[in-house]
Amino acid sequence: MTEKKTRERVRSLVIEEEPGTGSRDSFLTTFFRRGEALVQELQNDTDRLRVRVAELEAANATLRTQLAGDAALRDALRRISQLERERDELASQASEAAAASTRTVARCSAVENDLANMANLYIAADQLHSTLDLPRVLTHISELLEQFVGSREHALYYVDVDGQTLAPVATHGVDKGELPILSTRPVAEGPPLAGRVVEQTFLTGAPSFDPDIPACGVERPAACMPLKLDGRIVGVLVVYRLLDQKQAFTANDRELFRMLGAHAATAITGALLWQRARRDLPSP
Amino acid sequence: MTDEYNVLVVEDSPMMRQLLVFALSRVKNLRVTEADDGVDGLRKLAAGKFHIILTDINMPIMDGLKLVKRVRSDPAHKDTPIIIITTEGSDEDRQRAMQLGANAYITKPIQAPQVIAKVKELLRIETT
Repeated sequence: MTEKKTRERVRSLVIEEEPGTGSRDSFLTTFFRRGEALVQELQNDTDRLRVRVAELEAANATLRTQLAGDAALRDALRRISQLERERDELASQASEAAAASTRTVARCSAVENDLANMANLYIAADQLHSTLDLPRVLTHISELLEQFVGSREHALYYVDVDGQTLAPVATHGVDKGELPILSTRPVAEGPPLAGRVVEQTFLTGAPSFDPDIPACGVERPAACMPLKLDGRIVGVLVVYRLLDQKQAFTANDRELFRMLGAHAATAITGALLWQRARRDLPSP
Repeated sequence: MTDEYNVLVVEDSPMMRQLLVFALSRVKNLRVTEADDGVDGLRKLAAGKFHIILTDINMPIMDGLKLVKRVRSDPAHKDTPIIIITTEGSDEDRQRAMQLGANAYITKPIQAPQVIAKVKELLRIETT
């Protein structure tokens, strides 16, 4: 209630004396009645103000809560942004780790393959030089071609002791009688069809690989590898046909052929010399 | 959970045997036993516990298919995984071997990692 309003109300307590009725009792009764009404009015105003204060306090509390909530929300949003950055960083790291893992797996696989191929070469060389028995040396060469290269038909040509002819000394999957005996020197009429690539390999010392594997056979070998001993060509390893499941020569096959070209002649010649030496030894 | 696995390699070619033994021996917890042919394989099977068998088909005395048949008829080995490793690459050969009870069929020339992967798969060895 304003001061002005209060003054007006207090002023209302002043009782205008009515003409002819100025008794004291009447004055007091009227005075107290008006005073009571004023007190009641003041009491009502106080109650309204209390309610209003309570309302304002409640509104204030709500605003305070809201302000606190806004701060928490800002904190939460800040945290979310931070977590999103961390998530992106982790995703990037995971992606890099996955790429590194893929590279490692590929590298391991390549190393495994290299190791397997080296094992093949080691075992091939080990078996080749594990005996001085000629039939076993020839068997080992044949097995190498069958088991490691996947050859179905092959032959081993070797020069005779006089160095005049090149003849098949061991075969697999093909009849030795089907194969021609070749001259170590070119002849005018040329070799039979089945011996042309073999002769060419013997004379040039260059290995040959036919890319059309299904078309290969006795007259068209799939592969010819010269056998060298101290730089001299002493034979030819000929693969006529491969197993059905083997469609082409791999780099590893060529490496195995190269190893055979370098070592098979040594093993065969060693076995031949050992055979002769044993024959020449006097009986006990 | 078995910590160690015994592998029986039945192969008449010493060269192929050496290759398989070399490859398999590099796998952790695999112990390899060799046999020259089917009969030798059955003897080795009778003498010990094996978790997997690798066998060739073309072998003297007893071939790989007969070995598979004998192994499958023995209750002690009816569930032992068998891998055929052979030069025979036709579908008929493959089907016949699988019908007899082989679990896998690998044709020669083999790639050692391929054989190792198949052995691990059948033995449920995790590749790390």
